[in-house]
Amino acid sequence: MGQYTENELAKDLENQDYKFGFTTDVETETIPVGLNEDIIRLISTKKEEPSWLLDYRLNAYRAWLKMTEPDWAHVRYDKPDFQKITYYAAPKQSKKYESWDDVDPEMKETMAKLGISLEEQKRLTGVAVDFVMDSVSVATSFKSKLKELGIIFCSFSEAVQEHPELVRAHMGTIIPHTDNFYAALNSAVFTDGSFCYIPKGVRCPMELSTYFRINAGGTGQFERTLVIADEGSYVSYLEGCTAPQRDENQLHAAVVELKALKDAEIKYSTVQNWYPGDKNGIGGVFNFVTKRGLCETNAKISWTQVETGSAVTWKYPSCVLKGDHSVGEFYSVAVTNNFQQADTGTKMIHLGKNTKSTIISKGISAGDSQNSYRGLVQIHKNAKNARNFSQCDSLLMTDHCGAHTFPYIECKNPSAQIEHEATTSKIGEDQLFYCKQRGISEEKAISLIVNGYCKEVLNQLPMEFAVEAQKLLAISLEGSVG
Amino acid sequence: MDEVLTQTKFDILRKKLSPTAFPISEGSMSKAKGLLEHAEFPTRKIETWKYTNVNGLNKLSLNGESSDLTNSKSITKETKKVHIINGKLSKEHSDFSGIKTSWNELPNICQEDSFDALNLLYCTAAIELTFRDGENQIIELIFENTRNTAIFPRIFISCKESAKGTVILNFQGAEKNASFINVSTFVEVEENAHLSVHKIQKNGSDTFDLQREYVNQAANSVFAINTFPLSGRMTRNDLRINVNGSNCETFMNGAYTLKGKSHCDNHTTVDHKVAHCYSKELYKGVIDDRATNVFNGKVFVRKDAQKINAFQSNANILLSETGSVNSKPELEIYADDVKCSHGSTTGQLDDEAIFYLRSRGLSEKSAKELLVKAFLGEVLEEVDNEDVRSYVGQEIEKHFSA
Repeated sequence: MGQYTENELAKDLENQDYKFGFTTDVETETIPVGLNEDIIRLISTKKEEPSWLLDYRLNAYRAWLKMTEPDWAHVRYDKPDFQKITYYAAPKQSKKYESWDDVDPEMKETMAKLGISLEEQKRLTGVAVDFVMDSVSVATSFKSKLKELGIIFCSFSEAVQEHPELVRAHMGTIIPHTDNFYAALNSAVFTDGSFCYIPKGVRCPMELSTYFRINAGGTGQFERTLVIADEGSYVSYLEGCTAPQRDENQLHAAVVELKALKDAEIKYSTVQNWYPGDKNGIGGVFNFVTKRGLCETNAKISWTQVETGSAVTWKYPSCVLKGDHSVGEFYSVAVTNNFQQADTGTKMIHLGKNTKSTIISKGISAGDSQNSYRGLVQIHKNAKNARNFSQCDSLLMTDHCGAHTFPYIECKNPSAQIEHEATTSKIGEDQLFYCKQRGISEEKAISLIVNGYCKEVLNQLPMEFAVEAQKLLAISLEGSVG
Repeated sequence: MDEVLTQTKFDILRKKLSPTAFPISEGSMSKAKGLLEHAEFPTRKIETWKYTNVNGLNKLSLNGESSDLTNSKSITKETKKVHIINGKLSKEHSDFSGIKTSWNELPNICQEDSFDALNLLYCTAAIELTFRDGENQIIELIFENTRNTAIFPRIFISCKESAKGTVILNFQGAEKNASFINVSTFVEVEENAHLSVHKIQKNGSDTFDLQREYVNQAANSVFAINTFPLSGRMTRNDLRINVNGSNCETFMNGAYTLKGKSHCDNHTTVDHKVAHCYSKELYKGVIDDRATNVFNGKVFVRKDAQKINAFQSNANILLSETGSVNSKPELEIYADDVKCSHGSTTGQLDDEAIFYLRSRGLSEKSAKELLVKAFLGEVLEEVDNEDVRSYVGQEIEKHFSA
């Protein structure tokens, strides 16, 4: 009929099932359920780690024991039982694959379902993919090409074996193992992740991409990512997640550390679509992630995220602007539907002179969901001429969801300029009317408005990723998007 | 020995205070006592006290030492005046007609707030102001604080149906005064009523001033509150407004000028419980020397409270290297057909504007003064009482010429 009202849209959204819900029957090797020092030793032994790393894990574990789970976020959930989680699961295979033909066909199928088959990626986009399935990296492509430039892009465990000096020098320097409850837990039990090093003056010719995926039932995934951009280098790093449908809550507590040395630039993009739970709010992934980047002189870190999944999201990708003239950026679209809860935002810590930060956050809440922006802008004493601009907009799609804004602005320098503004509204009837009187159907008009609303952020995504981001937005808000 | 070890900071504070002479019901007494026994003394770990440290309260000697009040006392001309001198109602200078000052029992309004409990148990003055239809009264409460003591007034303001009223809460402290001021104000604005409250906090340089206003607004009412923390060691204002009826208007304005080591913390909450209301908040201030400012504004829009327009704005000018500004404007919204926005800025005076003025022959000092006055002037424009506006304007001028 061409008549499509917001109520119908809301109804459609409620009925939208999770499309990526499936599990793969790959045999996984797991260790006993629970957490204690022996488990940590076992993980460390299984991964053939050097003793300094085991000590690091144990220190983190001991620090974690003394911490209490934080509860200040604007989210409600049943706290996970840390003794009921299996902390290690690796697909059972002893040899590393030489080529893609050796890879378990079922795993390939999984990737095909995700729409990220490596063949396609290789052929069409030239993106090197480090595919992480259940904590152990099974494939890394384009390695040789990167090697020519001296770029290291491998799984975290590989980096520990092959570049221990780099890992040891940088790991935990940005997010110490005592940083917070979940970072400490991750530091104690992380199983794998990605490691990336860009040498001096090198501009990485392709977008580096990692796909994470939670698979075996009952395994929390504790990823660890470390990206180091040496002086004058540039890298664009992509991280995307999709998870299979599950009834029990799964815990995801990752740690991502970025280090941009003098004149370097890191662009870190995330598309997150962990299982959000069904439309009654049962199940879904807990996404408690610590992400932080450090900028040296003249460096730049840019975080872009599209958050559509997870039952509970709790993450604040941050920038520590330590060097003079450094720049931090944060672009975010967070979509919540049904009973999803998101408390996300950023922290911009200005330490150096002439540092600049930009925050653009767009929240869309539908169903019975709660969507919060929580951000910190901190200007320290010596941060002369620091500049911050923040804009946080919220769009409400139904009358039973919520949108909240909690910005913290702290300024200790008189030459700083800080601006923050936030708006909350629904799709304006005047906007709809304007579109409709020009012959655009209501459905198309809603899609147009939502797209336009997110455009500022979507524009920041690399081309290859924007497609996926749009796909995920479409799943979360189908009916309104195209 | 054990008793000393287990006593809390509240216990230490309470030892310095003398229990109230006003009658309190058993129920509220035990509730307040229970609250204080279990309450944690504010620390930076408690979200609402994140930026404000009140440990200095326990260092106040409250020994009764006195000094003269040199600055002006009353700021209005022809209004009804009530004097509260060093926390006690003064019969000599006041006009108590139509004002309730004697109590069989203090009203049993106990908030879940430890400082309100403290106020109840150690109340030094209790007063109820009632505004009735057709009177259009202006009442000025003048708090003259010359002795270092505990000043714990409990103020009830009731603006009856269709009434219009203005209350001026004028706190004047001697220059070096080191008192502990702790005020609880309960405001009821009935249907179609219009109430304006102006609060001036010109406290002594070592005074701690903690104030709470609990406001309830019924349908079709207008409530405006203008807060001017002008001086004092530490000033904390907690303004909590419940908008319980539809078609209400709520205005909150504040201007602050901080210097020296002073600390000012304004917490405001507007809770929109029903539809079709409007609220507007504007807080602006200038921070100099080692002063710290905290602003925390919160707008709640409850489920089904549709068609709410709520605006919130906080702007700060930081003049010194050692001052700091903390701003936290919050929105918590559970209804979709609303227009809510907030903004917060922190910056300095515009160099180009200073240059413009200097090129026209103004000294740097007067150029800056002019710009600051213009900056705070936006708040003063919102003040509908001529006396208050001119007094605060003068104080701002004095602040910068000193």
